[in-house]
Amino acid sequence: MEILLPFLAALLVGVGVFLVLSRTLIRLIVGLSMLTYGANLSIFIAGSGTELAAPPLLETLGAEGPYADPLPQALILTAIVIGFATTALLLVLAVRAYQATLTDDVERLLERSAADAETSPGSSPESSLETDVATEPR
Amino acid sequence: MIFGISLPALLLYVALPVLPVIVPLLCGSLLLLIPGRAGRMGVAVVGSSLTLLASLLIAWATFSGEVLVSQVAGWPAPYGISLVADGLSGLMLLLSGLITLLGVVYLGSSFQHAPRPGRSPTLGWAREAFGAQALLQFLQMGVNMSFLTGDLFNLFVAFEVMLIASYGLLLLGGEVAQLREGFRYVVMNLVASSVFVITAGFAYGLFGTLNLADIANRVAEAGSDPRVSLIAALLALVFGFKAALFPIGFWLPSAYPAPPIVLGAVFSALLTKVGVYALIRILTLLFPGDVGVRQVLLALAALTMLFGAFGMLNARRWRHAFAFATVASVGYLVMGTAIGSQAGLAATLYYLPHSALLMFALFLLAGLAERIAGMSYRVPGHLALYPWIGAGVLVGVLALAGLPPTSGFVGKFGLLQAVLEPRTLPLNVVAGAAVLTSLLLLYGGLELWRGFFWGAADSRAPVSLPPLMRFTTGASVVLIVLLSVFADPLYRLTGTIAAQLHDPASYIDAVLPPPDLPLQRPPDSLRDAPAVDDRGDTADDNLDDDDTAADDPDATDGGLEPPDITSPDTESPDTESPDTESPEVDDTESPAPTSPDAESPAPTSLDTEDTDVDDTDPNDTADEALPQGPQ
Repeated sequence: MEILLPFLAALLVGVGVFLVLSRTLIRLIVGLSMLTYGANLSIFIAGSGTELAAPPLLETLGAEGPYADPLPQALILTAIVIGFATTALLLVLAVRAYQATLTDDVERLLERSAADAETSPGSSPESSLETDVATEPR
Repeated sequence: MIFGISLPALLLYVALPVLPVIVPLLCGSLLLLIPGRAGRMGVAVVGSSLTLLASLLIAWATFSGEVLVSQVAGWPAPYGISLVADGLSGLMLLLSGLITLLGVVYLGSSFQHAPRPGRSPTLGWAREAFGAQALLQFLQMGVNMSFLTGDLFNLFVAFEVMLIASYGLLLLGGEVAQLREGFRYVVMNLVASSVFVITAGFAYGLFGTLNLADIANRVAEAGSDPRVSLIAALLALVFGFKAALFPIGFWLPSAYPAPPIVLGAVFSALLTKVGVYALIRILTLLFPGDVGVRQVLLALAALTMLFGAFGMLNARRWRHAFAFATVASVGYLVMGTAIGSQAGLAATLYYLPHSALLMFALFLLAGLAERIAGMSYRVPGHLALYPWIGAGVLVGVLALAGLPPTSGFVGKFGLLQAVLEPRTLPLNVVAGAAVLTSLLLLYGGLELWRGFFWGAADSRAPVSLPPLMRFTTGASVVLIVLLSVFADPLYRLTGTIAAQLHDPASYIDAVLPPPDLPLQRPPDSLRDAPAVDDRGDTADDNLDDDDTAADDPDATDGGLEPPDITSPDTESPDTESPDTESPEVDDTESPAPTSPDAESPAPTSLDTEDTDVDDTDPNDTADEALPQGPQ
């Protein structure tokens, strides 16, 4: 059973990378989630599958019986929370980007930014707070 | 650690490394609640000044060679999270404090145009109202935490705090270009973070610890294990990404120009330097003997320098040119780090504040120039109208190229000396790339200066620039000049810091208890409670205020401790340190095994002395208790 976990992690990371490389925004975000899951699972494996499987404090306390190492689980919990927050941010960002550009194609999204940068040198679309304030009539 | 000092001074001393993290957190949280812009500006300036003060104290304490260690919530070193301040941390904290304070002032002044009646508010106004100042404080919190932490996973958390704040700052305003660049930036950083998490997991699986000092010991024991090299390579990959090394740093030149210029300046001055700091830390502390990673880093550093320089030649706008210059300076820093000699390290540590302050100043100068004439620098004839800006840009450009009177010359001279010292062909090629980069930077910088300031002056009326903005920009230019004026004492200082880094034993010994001496706490003369009780206290405190330094892993660790252990500490005197842990488990768990985080410790504990200990600041008592252990 445990031998399956590394393969599962590899599968998750592989699927994640495949989806991240695709051109649709939402697939990209799902791919990032998969990547995060793969990372979390690999922490879990690293903490449980080695000779250091026991919690570091136990042996010095003279405890008996099998205990899972709690530290990888704590790490995963932290990583999950952080991943959750960033995924939420990314989803909002994707919606905003779609509303602003009317495309969910990553390629076109990035291409158009290059085109914009070339065509309008003076009043740029880039967010320049300074030019925005400066061009305001006083 | 120190004797003969009153208790409050001692408490301050051991609590000092926590302050640069706590103060920005509190200040940022407070900023979210304040409605008025003037109030926000005031609070942000006061908060940043306090952080700078704390950083100054740490720098003052650490520059003499001392290593300050604060064990968060009192958990002993390999098990808890340690905040460690050595000379390198002190230097970086000082830098981050200075730059954030200047950035806060500039940010406040650049948003000072009130919306006119009948007009929509300006972008700057909206940004400020939606918490740019607070996000800047959170950014500084993450940056300072990465400089201070002595724990690999906590470093990941610090990176995430910093990155999430930077996502917010980058996207605030919601313009289309920002959304595009922000999307790329967020996705790239998420992938890098995943790699970092996987690496941290591998490191834990291999070493059984996440404490950097402890990992350093295990690496030394492991010898030449290919798995150790793999972890070194993965960490270098992650930190190289943050620092924007050549093949994986392509996101930087398009991302940093996207937000308002002052935020680009702070990013350029601090965020890339965090990556460089982490590289220095792991290469000196964890993997001092790893040759392969260093060689790859050297090659990439040479390519990074050339990439930045050619990019700068190609850039048409102020902020793009300086974003590429940032990349080039990262190349120099990584080159000095990867050399591995003490002289190279000293030169890198001198070049690091130079590079951070210079990038900050150049971005601010670019902000003034863009305010005057728009984004492009090919608008000639501004020297007569703005002679001081012209002088500032010239100083910055010369320092960027590294011409003799400037601090850039001192840093680059030291770097080249260190690179040429081993006299091997590949290193000579790298040095050649560095010299070529300097020439290209000089050409690009002078081209930029000539394009904007030289030429026939036309009859435009001068644009009025807010005085605070001019003041901050001037101050950052003056700081660069000071770097070259005080080059000698500064270089000697970085020499001592480099010597400290070159000998990781001082760091390791300060963090970890000596292996032969078990961490036995002596009977404490400061209070009458036995040691057992305030150990129990720390477990409670740990669960209560775990948000102070994001030490969730350990909080959970404390909570998950096996409840049914009854053996006292007499059983295991032979093992390293953790035998003081057992009485605590005994004491708190047996009366109330299911709720170790109960609100008041009194009902859960059988001892009445507990309340005495509670009178003092719990964090500090816990911290203060630890350094006495080994004595």
